[in-house]
Amino acid sequence: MDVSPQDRCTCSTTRATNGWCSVHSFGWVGGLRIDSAWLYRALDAHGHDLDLTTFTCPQCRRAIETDGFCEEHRIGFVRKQAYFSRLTYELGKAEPVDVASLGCAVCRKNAESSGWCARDRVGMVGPFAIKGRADYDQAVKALEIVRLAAVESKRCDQCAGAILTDGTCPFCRIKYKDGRKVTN
Amino acid sequence: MKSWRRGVVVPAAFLIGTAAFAGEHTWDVWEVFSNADGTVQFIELRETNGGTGENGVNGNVVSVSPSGHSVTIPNPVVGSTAFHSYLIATPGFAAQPGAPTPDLTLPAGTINFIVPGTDTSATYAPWDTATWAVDALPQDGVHSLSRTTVGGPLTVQNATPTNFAGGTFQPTLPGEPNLVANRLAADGTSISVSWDTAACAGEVDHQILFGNRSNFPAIPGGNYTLQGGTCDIGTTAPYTWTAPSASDGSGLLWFLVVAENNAGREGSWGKYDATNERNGSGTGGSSGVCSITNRDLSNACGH
Repeated sequence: MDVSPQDRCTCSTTRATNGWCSVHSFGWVGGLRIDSAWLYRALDAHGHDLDLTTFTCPQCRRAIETDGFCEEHRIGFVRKQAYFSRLTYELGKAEPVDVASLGCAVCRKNAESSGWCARDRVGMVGPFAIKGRADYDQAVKALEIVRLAAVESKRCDQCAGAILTDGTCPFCRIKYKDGRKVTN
Repeated sequence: MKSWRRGVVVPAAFLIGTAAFAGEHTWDVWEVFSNADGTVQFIELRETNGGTGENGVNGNVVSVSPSGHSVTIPNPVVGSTAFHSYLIATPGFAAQPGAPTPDLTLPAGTINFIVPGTDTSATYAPWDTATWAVDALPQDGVHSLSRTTVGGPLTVQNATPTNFAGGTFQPTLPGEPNLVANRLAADGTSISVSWDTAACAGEVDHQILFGNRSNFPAIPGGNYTLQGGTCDIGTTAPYTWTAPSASDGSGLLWFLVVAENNAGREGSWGKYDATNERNGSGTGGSSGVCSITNRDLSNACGH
């Protein structure tokens, strides 16, 4: 019997595709398992086709033209598509690979979480290969923030959102900066 | 050198289409409104980047601070989202005749969701926050704080609550006669002016007072000066007004209809905020045109 797409387990592919398995209710972003549907959606690991003329900030304009990232607005652009976090922007620039096919054992090991292969000069963030060391470092730093958000989402999704954006949880009134609680 | 990979790359087409959820990021807090008693309030979000698929607003929280009042958007929006609005409002707003149906109506009995004089920000968590100075939120029932550019500051504007379907209206003060102007000539030289004759029966006469951009007061509460007046327009609406050009070259001409008693006394010019009258530069805040020498505010309708 055929099953509809939403009833079909996609766990075999979701890690490689930053996808979500609706049968088992978890997804992956950058090789990191995300159990919160709200957080997964907030991470939104795909490019957005937007009206680019609406971005008037000079840094955003420059980012659009150079596949760059606007630190002020936390928006990155890859091939004229917008990404709303540092991690998803870096993943948008990265090369998705079939991990099992990698010829380098270090790279295969790195793809289990993250790591830099000095010999091949390639970083892995999950199944995504990043060739520039600076980009890789940015991605790993952003991945750590998402990891903290994923942990916190088990307690409060809105705190997880505040962690992603250096914001304040509207429910718990906790302010976060760089993934950590800010205490006054 | 041995290659780090054997050349197998996950096809891009395989990645596309695996996004299980709609976007939600490009909505901003666009407009914030409260009347004086907090019964009629709204917060309007707006999709600001032309994203057609930013439907996944559900589960996101809209809150005001520091009061901490919050509401969770329960459902996604359906249809293209590009430059659409999402209207969250009190039941008191929804009950107003002609008001657009809120996309999310706050629970029955909700008043002061936004606490004027206390709250200084509204957040579409976690993506956008709009802030204002304490006491900056108008409570005159007509004006709101609104952005006019993406990411711009909130400034005082005529309230234009708009829902996802595009329904909108212009709030007016409770009991205040509505003034409606319809352009009869393309260049604006002929205007049909109507006012609420039913709410203010028994008036003797009216006049149109008009000014240009340079006639606005320099500060809130300052006196209005006038470019002129059109006298004795009577008590029957609509009145077809032959409008002059702005004498300061600005191209901006404002006007209002004021009752008068044909004996040198005129009525209210309306209020510029919740409590204070607009004043002209004549005696008692009157216009000083059309043989007017004084003003009487004892009658809400004017003369």
